[in-house]
Amino acid sequence: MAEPQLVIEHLTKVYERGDVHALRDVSLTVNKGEFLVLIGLSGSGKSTLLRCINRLIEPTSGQILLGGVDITQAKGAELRKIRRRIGMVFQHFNLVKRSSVLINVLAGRLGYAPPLPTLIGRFPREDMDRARQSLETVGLVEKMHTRADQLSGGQQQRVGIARALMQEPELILADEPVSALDPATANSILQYLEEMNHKHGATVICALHFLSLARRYGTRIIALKDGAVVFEGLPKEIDNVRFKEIYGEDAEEVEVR
Amino acid sequence: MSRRFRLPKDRIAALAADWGLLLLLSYCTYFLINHWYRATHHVSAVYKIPFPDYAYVVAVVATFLLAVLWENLGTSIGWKGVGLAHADEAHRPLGLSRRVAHVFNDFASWLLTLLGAAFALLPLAGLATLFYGIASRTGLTFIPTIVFWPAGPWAGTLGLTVGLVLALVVIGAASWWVARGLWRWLWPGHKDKHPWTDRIVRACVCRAADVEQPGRRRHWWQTSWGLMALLLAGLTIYVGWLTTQINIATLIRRASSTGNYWQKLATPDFKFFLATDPDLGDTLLNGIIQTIFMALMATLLGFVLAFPLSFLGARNMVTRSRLGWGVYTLMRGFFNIGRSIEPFVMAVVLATCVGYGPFAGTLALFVHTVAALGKLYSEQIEAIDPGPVEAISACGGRRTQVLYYGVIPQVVPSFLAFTLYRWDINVRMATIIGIVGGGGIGRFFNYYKNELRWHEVGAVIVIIAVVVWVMDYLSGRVRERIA
Repeated sequence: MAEPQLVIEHLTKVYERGDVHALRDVSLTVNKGEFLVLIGLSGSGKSTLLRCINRLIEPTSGQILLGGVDITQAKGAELRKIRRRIGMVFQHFNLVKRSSVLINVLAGRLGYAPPLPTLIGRFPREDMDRARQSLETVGLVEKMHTRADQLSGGQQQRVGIARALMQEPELILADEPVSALDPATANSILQYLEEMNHKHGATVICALHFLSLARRYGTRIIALKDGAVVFEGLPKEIDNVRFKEIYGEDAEEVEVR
Repeated sequence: MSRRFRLPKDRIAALAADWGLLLLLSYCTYFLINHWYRATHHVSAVYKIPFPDYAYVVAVVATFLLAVLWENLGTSIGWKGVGLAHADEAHRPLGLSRRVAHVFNDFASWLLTLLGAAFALLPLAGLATLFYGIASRTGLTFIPTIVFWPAGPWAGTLGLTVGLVLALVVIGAASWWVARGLWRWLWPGHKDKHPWTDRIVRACVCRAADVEQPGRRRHWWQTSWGLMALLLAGLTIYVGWLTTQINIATLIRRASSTGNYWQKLATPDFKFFLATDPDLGDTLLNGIIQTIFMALMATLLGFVLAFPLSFLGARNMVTRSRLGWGVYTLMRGFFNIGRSIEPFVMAVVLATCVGYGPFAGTLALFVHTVAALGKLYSEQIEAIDPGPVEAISACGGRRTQVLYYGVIPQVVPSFLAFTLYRWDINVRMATIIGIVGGGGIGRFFNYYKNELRWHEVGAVIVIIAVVVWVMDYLSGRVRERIA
């Protein structure tokens, strides 16, 4: 039976500067093991929603319950402990470009490793082994000592996924992980996410632009428009009418395979 | 649509600019009146027409009034610069009569602002006077005695002093708060698009881009800001020419009659490059090496201090809290002030304190380097890609870890490049710092110049030029490799 892992209640975010309502009273429930896809136009609030979940952005009001605990009030060490359970994959990879792939992957372990040794670049042995395993998972072991900015876009995103994998996350937030990639690479990246979903049992919340990808990978879809949830349901339920509701009258669906 | 009405920042900046420009205009006029008077009357070359003392006050006030008038009746340079314009509610340009009416409204608003400021400052000034009175009567002579902790007959009044200072701060803050309330009460529309003073005239100040343009646009030289800019540019160059006493005839005459001097300079004498000059007890080689080391030490020590400070001076690192803002402002203030005091000047001051020699020069360079590098570094930190920082925070990293893994790798290459560049600049500065008693090759230059030993002066000039050129070239090449 599906148990709720993440419950969001009446989440609102107002950006003071410019009076922008990025999220308007968003409530949703994510069950354990789901692959939830967020869709919606640019500026509809997908990124804000994802960043509220790990508190990279402070929500204005509302509750976020992760495993039954409200995380909107967490501070300091408590917040770090919550964050390390939540992996995040970014649109622009957010790797430290001048550091090696290995360092970038190990960075995923910073929430767990003893803090002082990490400041001279030392990580526990098991973390090093784990880093090797993660890189094996994404097939980049031989690039371990390469500088991150010398990799292709797809490879960089794989490093990003390996970094998230290091956290042994129970929840993965993916903010348009494939928007900067070509269609073929996009598919392979999403397959890695799917693998994490299936093999490692991590719940995935993934913002996507292409509906075809959303239909293929998502177990459920939530659509945002102007910061509010306008659709919630199974991928197959999105027909042409719904599509126009979400994306506006002039939109045409683009196929990506 | 017009954006929200923004009085304070833009309009104050514009008014300050216009006021300043009109002050420049009045200075130029004053200068030229004197100049023409001297030229037409047989008086001494430094004669000045005796204006009364209050003429300064008159000039300051009159230019302020003129600035306000100019802003209302035409398009002033300040308003053009920040992109403000007058318009009615429908964003059409104003006619002359409404503009004249708006002058009064503008005075009213500035008066209110000044009133508020005065109200905040008055009690503070009063208390300061009182404090000064008490302090001087109890034989407590201000800051020096406060800095050097008790020893003296006034030690018992220390508590009183501290209490008074605290009271001063509290009352100052309170009166500022009251004044702000008063200001808002007197001017209820200060945050609206159209404050009430503007509503009376039915005119508003809005973005120039939002004002509808009349059918035919004027050329820039048909507008008041264009004409004023032209006039000011011409006047400034003319007055500048006169005031710096540029005289090409002198240059030509003197240059040709001092052939001997040039000839000596052009035949540099390097005999003291390796041999010790008995008058100075050292060789030129040692001098230049000392100069380079002064620059090196100032740069290294400067780096050590500027590196941590720059993080406190970077907006994206500290400004999450009020305290952070305070630290940021303090650091930025230090960087800016430190950079604006020339090491040359600092060396003169420090040499008096620590004695003439390379230590004074190095110290002066060090202070300047900390400020300059701190500023450059913190700008680099502000320009980093926020992505990695975000990613490492999202992994649950501590702030130190975010710094170490997310920020520092991004800034290290540019920090190195800036430090090298700074060393290069410091070598250049260290050469002249010796002239005011900072040691190094400058000492030789100063001595030889005073002794009129032009052959040796020539040698020093050549050595400095070569070293500076080599440093410039090398640091340029290395920076290319790093970047």
